[in-house]
Amino acid sequence: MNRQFCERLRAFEEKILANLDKVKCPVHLSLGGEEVSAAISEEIREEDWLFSTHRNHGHYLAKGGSEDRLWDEICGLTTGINQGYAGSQCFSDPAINFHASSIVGGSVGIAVGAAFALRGAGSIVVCCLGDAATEEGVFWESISFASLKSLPILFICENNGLSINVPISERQPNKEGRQTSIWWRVSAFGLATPPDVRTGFKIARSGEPAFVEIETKREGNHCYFPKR
Amino acid sequence: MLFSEAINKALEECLQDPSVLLCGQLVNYSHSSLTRGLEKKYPKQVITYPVAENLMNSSAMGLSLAGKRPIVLHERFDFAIVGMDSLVNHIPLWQKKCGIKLPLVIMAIVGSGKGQGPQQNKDFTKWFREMEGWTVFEPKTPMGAYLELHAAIKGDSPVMYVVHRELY
Repeated sequence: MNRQFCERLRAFEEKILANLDKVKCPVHLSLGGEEVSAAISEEIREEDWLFSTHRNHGHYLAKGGSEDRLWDEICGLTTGINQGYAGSQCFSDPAINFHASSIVGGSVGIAVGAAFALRGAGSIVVCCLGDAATEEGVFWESISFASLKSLPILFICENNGLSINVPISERQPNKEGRQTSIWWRVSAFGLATPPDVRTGFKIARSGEPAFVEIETKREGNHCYFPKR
Repeated sequence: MLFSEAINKALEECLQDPSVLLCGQLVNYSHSSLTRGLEKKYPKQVITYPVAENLMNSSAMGLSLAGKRPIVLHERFDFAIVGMDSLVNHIPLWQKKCGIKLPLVIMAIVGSGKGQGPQQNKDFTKWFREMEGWTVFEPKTPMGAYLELHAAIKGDSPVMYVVHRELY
């Protein structure tokens, strides 16, 4: 595990918590998900694409994003990634093929389209999502299409078991009190569902779609707001 | 030249650029006079999609980000609306947000004729005229349809291209 990356990400998020008076937008921190982002950072290449969610700081740094420009974006400065227009939860850095959306599941279909364009080109798409995104119809449309067209895409689902504060047991089917795993349902669509990020990258690089579900534990609140 | 022939001709000419893709549910089956014959000439660029409008519209944005020029054909404007998230929350915002080129065309056909009923004849053009981030083309003549489709496909921004079926 890339301990250095985890420490850097944690320090960045703690800096936000310590400076909520400077922050100009809602922030969803990656605390508790550092190891997933660290694993992505070890495998992802410059020519690959990464589509992310509202909880994206770890993914952005994993893709090689600039900590300073992210900080400025969060502080609403014109030196930010999108000149402070997008804020923490939906910024895009086209220079490094990074796009985030704060609509749950919103970037999944976009990621699949990019993977369709990249088929045979050698690079891959990584689509990060949370457990709640798998409740959206477009998620199932997307994995079905990724399987149908054999797209070079790796879906990484960070399952923290919470949608804001609502537990997954109240949102997704569970029989006799036992939660059915998301990867198990996805596997019915013909996607490989390896247990770790590294294997997922390997499969996607071979030109096939893969879905990796990692259980994480969100630390702290769903979201923090600027202190006025 | 008929209205539908003008659209077919513009599509055929634009497909000579290999980055142009024509996506939709029946584009491959010579179902409509708009697309008839194109699949034989450009089999790799004319792509059948599942009945999944959210995916159709959002994947067009992904295709465009990664260098393609997609045209997504919806046989009814009503069907395009099924996939509204990307049409409202993503496609029209991205250029303002991060200054990229985002060439894509959503081609929406307004149904006409007896018996279409309330779910297959609606015209949502006004919505998109009022939404920042969309260019709307609504050709009224065959020449207009031909020229505006060329401009839409070769441009660098999202276009809602509305086809009134009664003009065919």
